[in-house]
Amino acid sequence: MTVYIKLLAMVILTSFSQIFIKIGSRKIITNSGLVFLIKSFFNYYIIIGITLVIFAPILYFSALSSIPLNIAFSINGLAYILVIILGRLILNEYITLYHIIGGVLIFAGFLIWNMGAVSL
Amino acid sequence: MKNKKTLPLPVLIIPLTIMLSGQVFAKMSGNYISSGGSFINLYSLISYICLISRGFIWIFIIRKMRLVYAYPLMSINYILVLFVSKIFFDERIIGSNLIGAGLISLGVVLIGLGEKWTGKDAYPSSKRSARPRRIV
Repeated sequence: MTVYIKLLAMVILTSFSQIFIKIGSRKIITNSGLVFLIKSFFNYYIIIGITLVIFAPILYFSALSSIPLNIAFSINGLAYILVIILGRLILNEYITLYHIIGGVLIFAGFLIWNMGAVSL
Repeated sequence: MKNKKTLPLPVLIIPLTIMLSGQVFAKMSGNYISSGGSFINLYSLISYICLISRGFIWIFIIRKMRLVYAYPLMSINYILVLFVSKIFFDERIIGSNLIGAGLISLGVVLIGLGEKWTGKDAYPSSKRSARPRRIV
């Protein structure tokens, strides 16, 4: 059971990291790729985002020490759903019918993928 | 619409391969940890390198390729990972894995299509009417 909490925590961390990096990159206004890269090292949002990206795999390695790869990998799909929800709530991004149907398919796929394979 | 230089689609094999290798090394790291090893080991280091290099390559690719093609094609990894874990770790593939992977890939494709219309300059203005309505 703790394995699934770790994997879920990983998904939450990676999703939030995307949001932080997006907020940070919105604040950097430049046309030059190099200037963008340098400025992003001094942007708190991007620093927080990257820190989360670094911590998330530790949870993943730890989870993989007790469950098969294909079970662990399936949970990555949930990040799409979480990013859409967080994007709407925090960044005021659009949600269209495509996002909703796509999200439902991903969730259904995740459940079916793990049907019969999960023993909590 | 501006004529941007676009990369050929087979370029996506590079991030796909790096991503799948990262998964293989992550699992090797997991196996190493379960046999009493430390969290900091060679496998997790390589997995991190895969993660970071894929990140950079991905940023480079999506600047030169339309997201509407890039996202759906990358979703193949949900199917490929099943075969990779079968080959490298002798994990079983059951029918529900394949159906689930197919559904997840389809979902990712649809979300990619959604981005096609909601992305900043993703769609020519003459066809704005084809844009799906904002729901939420």
